[in-house]
This record gives sequence, structure tokens and C-alpha cells, in this order.
Amino acid sequence: MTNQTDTPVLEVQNLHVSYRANRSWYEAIRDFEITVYPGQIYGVVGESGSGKSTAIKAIIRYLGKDGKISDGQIILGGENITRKPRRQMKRVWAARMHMLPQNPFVALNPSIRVGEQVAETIRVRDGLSRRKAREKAISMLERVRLADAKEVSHRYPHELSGGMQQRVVLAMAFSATPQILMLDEPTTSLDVTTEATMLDIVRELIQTTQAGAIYVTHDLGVVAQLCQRVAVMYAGEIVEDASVQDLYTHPLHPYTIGLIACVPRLGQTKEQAALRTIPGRPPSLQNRGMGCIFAPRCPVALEKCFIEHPPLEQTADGHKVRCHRWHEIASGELVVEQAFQSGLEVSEHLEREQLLVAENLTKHFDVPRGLLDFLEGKPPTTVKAVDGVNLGIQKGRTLGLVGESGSGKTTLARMIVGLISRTDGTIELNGQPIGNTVRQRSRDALRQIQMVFQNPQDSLNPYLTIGQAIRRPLMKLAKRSHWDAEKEVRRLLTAVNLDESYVNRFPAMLSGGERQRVAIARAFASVPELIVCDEPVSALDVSVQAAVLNLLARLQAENDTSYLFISHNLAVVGYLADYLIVMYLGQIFEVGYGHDLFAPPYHPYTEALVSAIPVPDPAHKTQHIRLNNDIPSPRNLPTGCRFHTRCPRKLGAICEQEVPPWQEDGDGHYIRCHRTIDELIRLQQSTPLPQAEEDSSW
Amino acid sequence: MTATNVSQLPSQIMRSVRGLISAPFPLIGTLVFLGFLILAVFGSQIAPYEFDNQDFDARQPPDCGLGVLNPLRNGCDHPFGTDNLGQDVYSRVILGTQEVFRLAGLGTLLAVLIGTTIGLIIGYEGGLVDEIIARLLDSFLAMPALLLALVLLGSLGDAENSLFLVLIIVYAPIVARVVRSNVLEIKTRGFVEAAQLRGESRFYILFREILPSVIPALVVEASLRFSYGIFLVASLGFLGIGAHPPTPNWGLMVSDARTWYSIAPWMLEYPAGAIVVLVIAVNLMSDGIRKLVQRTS
Repeated sequence: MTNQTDTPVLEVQNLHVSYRANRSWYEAIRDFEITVYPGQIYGVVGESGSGKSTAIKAIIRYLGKDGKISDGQIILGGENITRKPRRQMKRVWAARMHMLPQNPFVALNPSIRVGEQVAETIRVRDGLSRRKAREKAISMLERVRLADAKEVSHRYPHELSGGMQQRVVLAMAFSATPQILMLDEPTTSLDVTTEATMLDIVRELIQTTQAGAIYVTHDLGVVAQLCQRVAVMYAGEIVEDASVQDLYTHPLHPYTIGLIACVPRLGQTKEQAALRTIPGRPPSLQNRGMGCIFAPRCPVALEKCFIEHPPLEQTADGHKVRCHRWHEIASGELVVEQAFQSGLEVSEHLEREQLLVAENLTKHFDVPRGLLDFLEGKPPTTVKAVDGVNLGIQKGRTLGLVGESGSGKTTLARMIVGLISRTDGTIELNGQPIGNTVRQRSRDALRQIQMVFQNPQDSLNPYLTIGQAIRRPLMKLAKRSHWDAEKEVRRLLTAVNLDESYVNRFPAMLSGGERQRVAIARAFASVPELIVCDEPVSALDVSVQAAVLNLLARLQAENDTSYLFISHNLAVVGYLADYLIVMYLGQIFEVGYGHDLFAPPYHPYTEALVSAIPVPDPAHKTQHIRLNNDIPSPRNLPTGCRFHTRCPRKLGAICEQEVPPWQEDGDGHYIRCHRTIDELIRLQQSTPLPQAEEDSSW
Repeated sequence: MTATNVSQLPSQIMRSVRGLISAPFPLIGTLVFLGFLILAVFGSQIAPYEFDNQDFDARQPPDCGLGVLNPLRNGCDHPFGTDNLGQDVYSRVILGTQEVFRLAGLGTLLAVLIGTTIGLIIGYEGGLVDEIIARLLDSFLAMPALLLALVLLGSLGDAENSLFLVLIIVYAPIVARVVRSNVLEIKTRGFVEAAQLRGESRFYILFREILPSVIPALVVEASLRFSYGIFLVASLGFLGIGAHPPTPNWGLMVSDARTWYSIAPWMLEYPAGAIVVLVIAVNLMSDGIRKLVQRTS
């Protein structure tokens, strides 16, 4: 904000980008404008297909063969680069503009050590000697907080975790002094804990180097925590552009208002209210109407909105909005309300009979030995993916399962449904023990447990129609007659808010959210008692995600089905879960109620997860608890408490030597830690940890 | 990814058709292939003579040249000439098409069917079974196809049925490998796991859930195998294995014509040309199929 008086580092005016499809050009981006000042992080938010990535690709002049800038100007540090020839652009890319892609692995050469890769950019750009460049590379790696930078610089990209790779790319970008940095969802594929650290680094680097940055993301939380100003994109246009504080407190565009309302907040539960949704789909870019692009989905659209395209108008305080009715919204005359549904009623007695009880569930994978190890007679290494887990799921309730990737939560889920065999342990369903894998289970046991998968792209067979996909479990598991099944397919489709005409469509014709609804309908077809949901909404857009969560909550209430709900998004788990377990390195570290996520006491690990959540509210100050190391390899488990290597509340040697006991608060909340519950409450309610202490951990 | 999907399917087909026209080679290949297919099916009706009909008065070069549609017009009794035994080369090339499609076509089809089944099973089952069978298949691939064929024919006996067996043994492992690698990827997808959770039989999962997703790759592989099959059958014929005079086998015809090349080059040129044209046509066609499949998937 303080830099507003400076000259902007990047100015984009009236940018239009066209794409070629079927030999004709269509406008993917219309009238895009953005002004970035030094030291400013500018957020560009939008759902998939909103054109946010295309916009920044156009700005760095890196559109593919089928794309072109049809109008507008891009001015980088006072120089117009809109029509600069490619050969000269290379120099701009090398020194002044850099881009961080979503997947860091594609930006790194897999066959060169990362230190050398960073040094190479420095050498080519600054003409330094080999040794000097190498030294500078290592100092750059230190600046992005890579622990033991020297050692890391000798590794190959595949030997680094995703978060570390992303930091190496960041180090490459900042090894020169770029004027502007483009970040295209660089943290989307990372865990929350890694993401939080990454955001800290970006924030710090931008502040110290005074470069400008454009941060493209779909995550309103990240924007609130990182950016100073934000542009909201919808179907290729900026619909609103404001400072972050302004946008979150006084959004003016109905789309922004809807989008902010869609995101589940930590503390929101399904009993309070259903999540708000934006009905409809984004329009196809090839045939946008003449009016406002959001009009078909807008709850307050007038006739005028369908006829006349609104301009991007600027309010008095620099807030820009593209809406015919923003005056009314700003003055409070018009309140944009989405379809509001009341929350679900949950009987007072939360406790119900146990549906599924698992004891001592264990999965050990044998890692195959190399020939040399075999000849030397080394024993095969065992990975303890899941190590002695006990859990119970009550009838009609949701058990939330939280943990970083690598914590073993998916392995646990797959053991319960029987997709992989268990090394040890028992599972009882309604008091009856059930077989190890699917092949050993009775038809009835199979009928009782179904699953919703993470990726909607591959959870439906592309060669079977929606009707066929849902009919099969009806006939196979529920033993319905053909005629009966046909009717039931239609009923299920209606139940998941899809039109009956979808029966004959193929999955390729459906959007991600619609496919996930079909997958849910398929899971419910056999009237199961338990549905295991493995990250069912993580691949979906925010507005779609809300609708699917509402659907899951409603169907559960109607059918009295139990869920085992796995997610890395704590707000989502907090919204849906009645009970909660937190997993780390194959063990459970906390057991409690869903709402236990909202206030201390936490297990130190849960605390770190909670404080890493990017909260979609700029006024919210995150607690500075960061897990800077990556999760240890399960091949090489830490002794004592498995979390001690990263624990921000570590007591001392006892944590390294002894397995911690379960601490109980007397109300069904259990924490596995050497510290007592009272101690944890005291620590977690007081001010967060001093910075120095966490620095020493790496 | 959303609203455009509904209109995507017809437009995809249109795009493929347009792509086919803008890059004509696959189309040409397909048309030539279809032409040969017609010859193979209606060969007996089209060919003016029986394959072993001898016309001793007319041991002569062709006097009508290429491109003659009606070979009997204007006394052009033998448009491609006759061979040293007075057999009509034109008829023998046409009837040879039948021979090629029967041996290479049927052989390849069997190899593809068997290879697909093996690939599906070992790819899906995994574990030790897969490990052992996959290595075994690899060991077949280590030997050159022709050498393997010669060894096999030597031990099986020189009958036509052994030729089918040779094609199966030579090509099924290749097809199996392609299918297996596809299955390994597809079996981890959600819809296969959903089928497992329903307690579906292996048979259902393999053929109803997995096979359709393998078919695009399989079609490409099968057409490629067919073109190699034509070549292998011709090569074996040339070496005098699996085909005996007076069978109108193109390879055999080329082999016989070698001795007479200086005085009767047409004896060699037409059957050899037929082999070349058909193999190239099938290759072009499989190229086109691959592009088509890549675009739509």
C-alpha cells in the first residue's frame, strides 16, 4: 500500500487475448487491466476456466501457437513489451520476468543437480565464474529456507519433495533481481503446512527485493493472507478489482459475494447452515452473450444485465467493479443473497451405536530390495504405512480423518473398504468381522461399504453412460430387477440434483462437479451403511465444492449413512465431521469431536495444521507455527513420539525416547502427547511461539 | 471443461474428418487398403484366370501397361504379362491378395486376440504371475521375428497351420506388452476400483471396464502388426516356407521370378510392387488411426 506513489513495475491495459479453435478465433480474455507496484503481491482469483492462467501467460508473452494478443498493451518497467520479438523477449525472461509454474518438476531439469541448475542461471545471466556462481546459488537456496542448502544443492530434482522443488524454482527466479514474478498456483499441489511456509518465503522475498508479483490462484484464503490487491476473474473478464481488505469486507460484484460466501470457514458446521452455492455453470468462452457474462447465474440480474455489457467502473476509493447495480450494492440498498438453506438437525444425543469398529489396523509394505542388497543378504525394508490404528464409526455419523500426504490416511481408507489387504488387525461391521479384501468379503458386506473417490476425472468409466454406471451396483449389489433399477437410477439422479436426461450421457460431457455427483449417486445406489469419501471435493472448484458438501450432508441425513471423510482441508472436515481423528506417520495422534478443530487444546501437530490454514479473511492474523521440515519418510520412523522431529511444543529428550501416552480431557477428546491437556491449553491460548525457537529446528 | 463438453463430440468427429482431409496420406492409405480388401473378398470374381491356369501361347510381356481396368479389352489378355509357366501374373497378384489377407490377416487377428487376453490378465493380476509371464514374453521379443519364425517352422513342420501359429507366437507377445502397460495404468483408476468394491468378477472388470479404454491403443497396434504380418508372410514365402507352388503367394512369386528377372522383369515387379504398396498403405492408415485416437482421447 505504501508503494502506490511509486511508478508501477507492470502495467497492463485493455488486454485482449484470442484463441483459435476450429479455425476461428474467439476471445478468451477481454479487457484485462492490472497495475502492479514494486513490492506488491497482486492476486488474480478465479475458478477453473476463468482465464486467469491465460492472462498471465499473455503478460509474459508465452502464449502457445493457437493464442495471440489481439489488443492492448503490456508495459514492463516503462517499456512496452506487447510486440517485442521473441529473441528479445528471451532477455526479458532471463532477467526481468519470471514465472513459477504449478508443477515445479516441469521447471527443473531432471538430470542436473539442483545446485548446478541454479548456478547455471546465475552464470549465464551475470557472467560469474563457476565457483562464484555456485556460492551464490547456495546462498540463494539458503534464502528460500532450504535446510542444509549445501547438501540439497547436490541432489537431483526427484530426490526433493514437491515443496522443496518449488523453493528451488523460487531460488532460480530470485537469483537475478526480477522486476516481476508470476506465480501460477504454486502451492496448489502442496500440503497446508508446506504451503504456509512457501507463502512466508514468497512474502519475505517480495518485500526484501521490492519486485512486483502476480499470484494466480483459486484459493481465496491464500489471497487474503498474501496479497495486497486482488482481481477477481470470471469467464475471461475481471469482474472486480480492489484492495484485499476492501474486497473481503465490502465485495460489490454478486459473483465475488457468492464466491466468498461459498468457502467453508473453520468453525462452520453443517448444523448451523448449509453452505451457500452459486447455481449454474460458467459460460462457454466461445459463445458469450452480449450482456453481463455473470447475468445467467446472478441472483439479482435485471433485464438490462442480459442486454448490455457492463463496463469496469471505478468507485471513489479505487475499487473497480463490472456490474450495472454496484451503486445499489455499495449503498446497501440491494442485498445479494444466495439460495439459503437452513442447517441440518442433529439429534441431541450425538452418541450412537458403533457401525464399524477397527482394531489394531496395520499395513506394512515391503520395499523390494535391489539385487545388490539381496546378494548382501540385507533384509527387505518395511514401510509402516499404517501402524496399529483403532477407530470406530458410529451409525449415521461422520468421522473426519485429517493428515498431511504421507500420513497413511488413504492407505487406512483402502484397507477399510478392502481394496488392499491388511497386515494385521480386525474390522467388524455391525459386530460381524469382515474379510480382509474385497474378494474375501460377502456380497452383503460389499453392499454395506462403498466409496467416493478423489478424482472425478477417472472415477467414472468413460465408455459407460451415467445410467449404466449407476444401474450396475443396483443390479449387482441391491439385486434389483432391470425395470426397478431403471426407475431407481432416475430417482438417484434427482437426489443428487442432476437432471434425469443425464442417464444417456457419457462422463466426458459432464463437468467435474457433475461427475462427482454421479459418483456419489453410484455409491448410494446399493444403500450402503458406510461410505468412505477420499478427498471427494479437493479437485473441485470452490462454488462446486460447496454444493457437493451440501449434497453429502443432506444425503447422510436422509439415508442415515455413516461417512469416513478424508480431507486435507480442515475447514471442510470441520464442517462435515461429527468426530475427528488426526493421523501422522501411520498413527493416530488426536481423537475428538469435529468442533475440536476450532479451539485448543490441540495436539501440537493439529495445532500446526490449523495455524497453517490460509483463512479467507485478511483481518485474521495467522499464528506463526510452521512445520519447516518435510514429513519424515515412513521407512525411517523417528523414535519415541513420531512427531518429535517437527514438534513446535517439544518437551525434551523424553519425546525422542518414549512413546507418548494418551491424554484425556474427560469428554471424549484424546491427545497423544507427553504434555498434559491443561498444559497444551495454556500454551496454545497464550502468544504463539517465538520465531527464534522454530528457526533452530532447521 | 464445462459447458463446451456437450457440443464437443460431434465437433470432434468433424475435426477428425477435417484433419483427415488436410493431411491426406492416412486417407490415401485407407483407400488403398480398402481397394486391396475388395480384391481379397471378390478376388475370384475379378481375376480373369485361375491362379494355375497356364497359357502356353502367351509367354510375353504385358502389352497394355498399367492401369488397365478391363484386361480383356483389345486382346490384352494378360495386362501384367504371364510368367515362365504361362500363368497370368495379373490374376495371381489379385488372388495373392486373398492369400495375404487370409494368412496375415487371420494370423494377426489371432495374435491380437490372444495377446490382448494375456496382456489384460497379467496386467491386472500383477504380482508373481505377471513377473514370470512378462519376462517370458520379453524373451520371445529378444529374437528377431524372422529367425524365430524359421526355427518354429522348422520344428513344427511346413504346413499352413504352423504359419498361423508362428504369427501368434511372434506377435502375441508384442501385443500383450502394449496391452499390459495400458492396463497397469488403467487399473488404478477410480472406476476400476469402484467395480472391485461391487465384487465384480475378474472377467467383467477386464472386458467390460478395462478393455474399452485399451482399445484405442490396441487398434493402432493391431494395424501395425498387420503390416508387419504381411511382410513376414511374404518373407517366409520368399524363403519357400509355408507356401508351395503354384500357390499365388507374393513372396513365393518374387522368389520364383528372380531367375527370370533379366528377360521377364514384370514377373517380379508386380508382386513385389503389390507388397510394397499394401504395406505402405497399412502403415499410413495406422498412422492416421493413431492421430485420430490421440486427438479424441
